[in-house]
This record gives sequence, structure tokens and C-alpha cells, in this order.
Amino acid sequence: MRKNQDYDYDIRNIEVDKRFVIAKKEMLITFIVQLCYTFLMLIVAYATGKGDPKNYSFIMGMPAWWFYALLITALFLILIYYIITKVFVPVSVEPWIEQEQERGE
Amino acid sequence: MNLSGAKTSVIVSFIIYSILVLAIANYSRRSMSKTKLDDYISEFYTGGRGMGTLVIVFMIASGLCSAGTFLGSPGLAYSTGLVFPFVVLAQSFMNFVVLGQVGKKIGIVARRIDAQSYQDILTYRYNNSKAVRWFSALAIWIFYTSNIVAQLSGGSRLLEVMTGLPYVTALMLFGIVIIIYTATGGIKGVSTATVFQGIVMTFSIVLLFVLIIFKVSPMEASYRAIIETNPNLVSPWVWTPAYAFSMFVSLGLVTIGQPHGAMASLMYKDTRGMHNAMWIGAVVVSIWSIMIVWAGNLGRAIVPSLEVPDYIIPFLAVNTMPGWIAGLILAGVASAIQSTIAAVVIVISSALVRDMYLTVRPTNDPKKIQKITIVATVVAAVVPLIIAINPPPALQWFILFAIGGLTSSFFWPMLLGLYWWRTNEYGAIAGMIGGMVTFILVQGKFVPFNLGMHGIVMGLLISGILTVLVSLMTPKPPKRVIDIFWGRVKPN
Repeated sequence: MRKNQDYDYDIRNIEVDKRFVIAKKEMLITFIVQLCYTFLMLIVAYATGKGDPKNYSFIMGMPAWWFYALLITALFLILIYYIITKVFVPVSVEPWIEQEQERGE
Repeated sequence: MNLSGAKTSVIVSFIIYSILVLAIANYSRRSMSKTKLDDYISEFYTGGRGMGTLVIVFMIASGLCSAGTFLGSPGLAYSTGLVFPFVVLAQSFMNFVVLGQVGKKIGIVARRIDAQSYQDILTYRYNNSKAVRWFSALAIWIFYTSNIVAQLSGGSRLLEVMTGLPYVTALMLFGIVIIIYTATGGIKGVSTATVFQGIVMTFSIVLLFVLIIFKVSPMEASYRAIIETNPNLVSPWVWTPAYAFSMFVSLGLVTIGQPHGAMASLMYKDTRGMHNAMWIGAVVVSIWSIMIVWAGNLGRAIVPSLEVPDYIIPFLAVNTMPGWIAGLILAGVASAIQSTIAAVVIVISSALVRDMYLTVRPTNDPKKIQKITIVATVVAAVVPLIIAINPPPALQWFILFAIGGLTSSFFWPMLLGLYWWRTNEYGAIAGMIGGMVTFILVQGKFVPFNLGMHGIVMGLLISGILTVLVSLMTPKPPKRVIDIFWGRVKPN
């Protein structure tokens, strides 16, 4: 089943579909956004939630650290909306499409 | 514990809910019977790749949010404290994360190779490796079955407590509805039901949350009272930052490691609809996770001590609110459980048919395929239903490891397979098995080394390293795979 010519290629000679380049870029953006969210949430919550809860300050009836966590989540929702509508590119999902030639990775 | 305050209205609303789900299923069944036999598999498993925005939103959201959303998570928010609603926020953007990471790439590749499942993508990418196919199919079958058993018995026990029906009757009420609509309607039946269930969930969550906010108002005084009794319930420091980080990773970053969550990538119609599903889904899931899980924590101010923390939400609904709300909450719980089970059953069914049966006995006869598909789907749902009648004690062990094990084994082979050309079948196998074994050893405390984190982080770490190293030490993947996953021009 395994043909030798199947392994006889150079990755630099493969013409890469542009849509896959877009997909990769968007995958990286998604990762970065979710990682930033993770770290921002942890840093803010653990910094403002330090100490004895008896001495907590409250915002709108909530412990301040929890309020900030909700606020960050809301801000990220706006950021995500912006990224999806303005940064992400709609592409055709046809299996094979004509496009300008481009040399691979 | 008294949860039976409103038996009649609970039973009535549960029956109305079940009839509506079945009516929707019947509608999809008729649409399935119009399908040409040749397209049967494609219509059954991926809806002919024509799913609109709302379906994609709820396929991901309700598929991933299970019994845990209404029972387990609020229960942990009640018993562990506010740190739990905090880490659950990590899942808020799950639609964005799943579709952003793999949506476009899988969508196009799936159309190139006519993939009908997560395993189809993995298997093709890894050079039709039998080992990849069988390992993923078996892992999916075993772990997902355990997961369904847990969901079914959790839901049925709740139904038993709230209505006074015997456990087995409650279980059958739950299970038979699912079998009917998954086996006859395929993913189309599941998806229309899922949209309906998602709306029921949203409505019941928002209503419950608003009522609870009124109950605990003024909130600051309530929180001060909670702090008086147990300050840990309000501090994030109950968990170390490292442990909270690992929960954020597990709930947020690596969701594509769960086959039933990533399936929506195979079904959407076009990227515009998919983009809308990403942000609408993020809004919906944020609302769910914030409101219902936080409500479990706020419940402390209303009910200071509850024997079974998992029942905090139903308890609040029955004891502090009008009877019909209890019924609505039960419908919400049923929605969450049934939509998850349905999504999982479809994944198991595809593993049984496409990865197991058809590789042993290939056939092209469409009539036969249709018959096998229906039988496999019924099997996928009936096996856990039977186990759930009397769950064996060892099962708890499986359930504990089900989701984490699947995620640790699939995340890297899927992600690297899609975006790093050099990954090959040897690396994938090493990564899958290594990830799962490491996760089980660490989480089961057979190995004491966990970096102070949830076992999933160690599992992912080992899996990623193995996938990369083993791939680099073995031959590169064949050109036909590269052509499909990267190439611009259709190979001859």
C-alpha cells in the first residue's frame, strides 16, 4: 500500500491553500485571546481577593474580586465580538477553489 | 430532604416538555425519510453540512453543558465557594474557542475527504492508521458510555426525588425519549431538539437567577452573613492560583479535545454563519455559566446547610418559588442532560458504524448502511441505559476519568495534525496513549507528581511532548495527506 513516491516530496514545494493560512492565523489569535483572558482573570481575582474576606470591599453588593471577574468577562465578550466581525475573514468552504498561486510554508 | 413540594406541577411540566421534544423528533424523522438513501450517512451524522447559526450555537453550548450545569457545578459553588463560579467562567467563550481553533480548517478538510466524524479527520490525517482509528473509537465508546450513565442516573435520581416516581420509571422516561429522537432523526433530530432545549435552559436559568437575586437582596448583607459562617466560601484563595489555572485550561483552552464539542465544525453551512455562532454562543454560555453557577453560591444565604449540595438549584426552585418554576427547572435539567447525551450518542454511533463495523465488513449497500446506523445508534443509547438501572461501583472511577482522559489524549493529535505538517501517525498514537495514561496515573494519584494542578495539565504536557518527539524521530507523512490538509490543488 505504501508507495515510495508518496514520501518523495519537499514540503517547501507544496502550494498551500490560502484559506489554511488564514485558518492558522485565526487559530493563533483564538489561543492568545483565551490565554490573555485566563491570566488576566487569575491575576486580578487573586490580587484583589487577597486577605481575610471579613475585610473585603464590595461593589454593587458583590465581593470586589468577583465583580472584577465579571467585568473582565464582559469586556472580553466585546473584544471577541470585534475580533470575529472585524479580524476574522469569511472564506469559501468549497473543497477546492481557484486562487492565485503562492509558494508554501 | 424535601423536594417534593410541587409534585403535580412538576410531573405535568415534565410531560409537556417530553411531548414537545418528541414532536420535534417526529418532524425531523419525516425530513430524514425524504433523504435520498445515498446521502443517508451524511445527513444522519453531519446534517448534510447545512446547519445554520442557531443550531451551531446550541450544538456546542448544550452539547458541552451537561448535568453539571444545573446540578454538579452549582453544588460545588455551594460547597466549595465562589472560587468555583470563578473557574467556570473559563468556559464562557467555548464556542469562540472551539470554532476559532479548528472550525475553518476542519470545515474545508471535511468537505475534501467527506468526513462524517472527528475520528474520520484524525484517521485520514494519520495515514489511515488502524491503530489511530481503533484507539479513538474504543476510547470514545468506553468513556462516553460511562459519562452517559452518570448523566442518566443523576437526572433520574432528581426526577425520582422531585416527583416520587420510582427510579427505574424515571430512568426510562428520560432514556426512551432520547433513543427515539436520536435513532430516528440522526443529527437533524438532535439539532432541532437541541435548539429547543437550549432555549428552555436559557429561559429557566435567567428566571431562576432573577428570582434568587431578589431573595438575597441586599446582596452585600447576604455575603457578609455567609462570610460570618464560613469566610472560605467567598475567597478565591481556597484553591491555589496554580490549581485554578489548571481548571481554566481544562474548561476553556482545550475543549477541542472533546469529540462531541468539536463536531459542529463538520456541520456548519458557511463561515458567515459560523462566525455568528461564535459570538452568539459566547454570549449565551457566559449567561448560563455566570447565572446558574453563581446562584448555587448565593443559595448559601437562603439555605445555610443542605445535605446534598448537588440539589441546591432544584431545592431552591421547589422550596422558595411557585410550583410551576420547579417544573420549568426540571425541564431545564432534562434539557441539559438530554442534549448532551444525544450529541454523545451520535459520536458513539459513528465510532461503532464507521470506525468499527465498516472497517471489518465494508459495504456500499445504502440500505444496509441505513439499517446498521439505526441499530448502532440504538445500541449506543441502550447500553448505558441498561447499566444505569444498577450502576456498578467501579463505574464511578471511569466517569471521573472520562472527559479528562479524552481531552488529554485527543487535544494535541488533533491540533498539531491540523496545523503542523510534520505530525505523523506514530507521534499521534504516542501522544494519545501517553496523554490518557498520564492523566489517569496523575489524577488517580498513582503518581504523586502533579505540579499542584489538575491531572489534565500533566496529561497534556506529556501528550504534546510525545506527539512532537515521536513524529520527528519517524518518517514524515505521505504526500497525499499533505495535499489534502495543506494543498491548494486537487491531487489526481
